[in-house]
Amino acid sequence: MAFFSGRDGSLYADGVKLARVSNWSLSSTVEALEVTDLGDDSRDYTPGLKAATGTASIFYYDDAPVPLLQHVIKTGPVTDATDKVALSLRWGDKKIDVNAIMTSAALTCQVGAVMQADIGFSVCGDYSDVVL
Amino acid sequence: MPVAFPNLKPSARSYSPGEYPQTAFQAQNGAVTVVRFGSRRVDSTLELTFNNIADADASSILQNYEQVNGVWDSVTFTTATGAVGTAGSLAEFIEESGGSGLRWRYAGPPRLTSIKPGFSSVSCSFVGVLDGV
Repeated sequence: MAFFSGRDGSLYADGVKLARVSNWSLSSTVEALEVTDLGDDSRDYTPGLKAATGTASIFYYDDAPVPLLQHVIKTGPVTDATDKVALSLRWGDKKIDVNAIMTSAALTCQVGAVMQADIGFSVCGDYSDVVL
Repeated sequence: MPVAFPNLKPSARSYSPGEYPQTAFQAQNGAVTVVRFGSRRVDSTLELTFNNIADADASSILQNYEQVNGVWDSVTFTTATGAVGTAGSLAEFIEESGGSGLRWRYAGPPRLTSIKPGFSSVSCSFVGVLDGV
């Protein structure tokens, strides 16, 4: 039994481990569909659809963020066939595998700081694999 | 023979008791004369909404619509269905069971919205009709 920290984390895209990832995050939600009727004294809900979004921050060392950046900052159309990415968010022996589309990319280049790419993504469909 | 509404409780309800059949005439001096054609209110309205119900329950409402309108019948409610959450004389208004003589008919077809697999939302509108004998 041990705590997990940043040194235990990693991010894979299409089976390849990405280098220079400074952080990743995942936010998962389940819709609450209200089923309260006029005879109730308290609100009642039933589960609706699942959804998840996430972010990843990658230092621009060599081409480290390119595997994700190229699906947002590109010429030509963004398509399901070419731009849906299989992501694996891992920490220790645990992981969450998803298919995701990159929805945002922010590049920052400033004096006195290492250039970094901040990428946002939305999960498509259900989780491919979950080990918690 | 009136048909009972399916055993479902609505998420929301809106009711109006209707109006009295009359015509008002206003003279040039502002005086109003009302000719009343009947002593009973007519055309009460009831709107029921069923949010996020199982598809089987949504189907039962559509089947009730077919059953009632197929033979131009009327639908009844109780305090376990359309009048749930009301008590006393208010329940009699919602049910139109307090001697008003009105019968609930579907004002139009129910409207179904699919929410997610196996769940739908349905909205129904009814009008209280004073049937001629």
